[in-house]
Amino acid sequence: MPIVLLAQPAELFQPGNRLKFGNYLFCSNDYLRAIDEFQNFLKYKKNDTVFFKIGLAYEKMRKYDIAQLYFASYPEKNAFYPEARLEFHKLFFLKKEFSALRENVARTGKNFEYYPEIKRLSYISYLFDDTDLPDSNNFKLWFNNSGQKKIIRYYRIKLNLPQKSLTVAGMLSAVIPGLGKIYAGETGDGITALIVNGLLGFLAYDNFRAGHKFRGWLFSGLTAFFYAGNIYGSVAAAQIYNNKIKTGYKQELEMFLERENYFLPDYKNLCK
Amino acid sequence: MNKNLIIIIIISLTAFNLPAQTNLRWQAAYADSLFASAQYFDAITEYKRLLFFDKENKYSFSGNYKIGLSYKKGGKFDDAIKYFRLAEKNAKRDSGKLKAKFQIIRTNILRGTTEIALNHLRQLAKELNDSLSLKKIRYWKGWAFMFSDKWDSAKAEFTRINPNHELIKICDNVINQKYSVTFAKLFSYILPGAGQFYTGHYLSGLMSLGMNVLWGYFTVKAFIADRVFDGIVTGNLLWFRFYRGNFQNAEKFALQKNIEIANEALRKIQLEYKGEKP
Repeated sequence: MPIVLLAQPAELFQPGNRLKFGNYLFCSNDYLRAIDEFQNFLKYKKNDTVFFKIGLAYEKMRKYDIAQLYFASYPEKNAFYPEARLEFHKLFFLKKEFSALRENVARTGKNFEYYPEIKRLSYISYLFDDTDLPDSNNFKLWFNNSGQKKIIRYYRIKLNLPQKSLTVAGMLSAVIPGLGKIYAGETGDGITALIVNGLLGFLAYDNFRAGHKFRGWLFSGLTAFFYAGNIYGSVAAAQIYNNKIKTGYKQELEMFLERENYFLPDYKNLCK
Repeated sequence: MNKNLIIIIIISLTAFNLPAQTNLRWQAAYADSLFASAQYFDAITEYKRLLFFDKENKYSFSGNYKIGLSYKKGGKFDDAIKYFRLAEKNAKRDSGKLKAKFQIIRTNILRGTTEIALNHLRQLAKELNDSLSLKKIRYWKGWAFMFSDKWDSAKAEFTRINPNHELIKICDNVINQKYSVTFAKLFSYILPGAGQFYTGHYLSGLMSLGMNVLWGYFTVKAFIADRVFDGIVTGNLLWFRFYRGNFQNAEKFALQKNIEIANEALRKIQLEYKGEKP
């Protein structure tokens, strides 16, 4: 059996070396191991930067709740308090808890160092959820010139997001089978639905006319089934269309915000 | 007192104020012990620590190689390949380079990127010409073919190593057990549902047969009664739809069964085969 408890070479595990190694891991994006090193270092020495880095590491690992606990624990007098508070707000945004973000921003005093940043986040959050958009002039106020142009583009897209009415899609297909699908952008499916419903209906009629009652009822049943399916399918098609548009818009916006680092300061100096 | 405990205490005490190289040697031994006891996450951390403090790059091959192995054991194949590449780059001897290269190939086989593994093997075959290396190349080619469901090619590679190779039997078993996709399809062309019966899907076969008989009957009857339009519509929309579904289904079932057979064989090899595995 191998001796797992082989002694660790003390020098490499001294707090200073643990910190150096932790920083290396943190900067090479190995966050889980970095956290372990930092936590071991903190057993020997209190260090706000290291504590802040642990929060950031959890944030990078998308462990938003734990990260938020770290950032929330900074006392107001601490030198890192403004940055920790900023990250605390950002985490509401990343967790998509937009109303909680807005409530917290509303409670924050205007003299807070990063007030413009969190206010910006709060405005951006309106671009994601279903609440009404604030006035575009107020919206623009919080961005610099280049930022304004970019973000207003998404503001306009959200304002005019092309959406199809589910009721209209269903009604159209009830009147003319397949029309609802064409309305929802699925032209091929719409034409197919029209032909299938028409042919099955005709077959039912033709068989009744020729005195074939069994086949008449069989085709009537099939017609009813396809007719109901066509209405349901049209409503579903409209729903899919709306979701596709919304998802596409949100994905694009998310990528844009990630590129812009959410219009927040980055901490590149932590890895210098 | 326990002998091991005494050793640990002595080592712990002497570990203070050791020269840098001794520290690194101990660190390497510590990481190795974690690796040997299958604590791969911790082993990776300690190998990374070793590499970080190894300013003279003495452990740059072995450290990266072991990190690669640990990631591979943990199923993190992308990371494993990344570290095997680093090991290959840092190897001071050709044997080290080759060792890392073979690990890259084996990890690619496990990852399912068998085409990449085969490309590496073809490249190696051009570079190496000693019989031992060629045997090794054929062996891993065979594995790559097994993982890419090309059992005939795998058999051919193992036969070239040794006509009595243990893995040939397994390849033969799979080849014999597999269903012929073309036969299943053709069988269903001739008699609807027969392909499903052939692959063991009896209920589906009966349903297919029933549907084809029913709609075929209505179609034929409509034509006999001179209701040509009814006949064409019923034939096109219903009979042919079920007829096409019938042979497409037979093909799908045969393919599915073949995947199950191949997966079962690979599972068995992983558990029962005693030779070297990817």
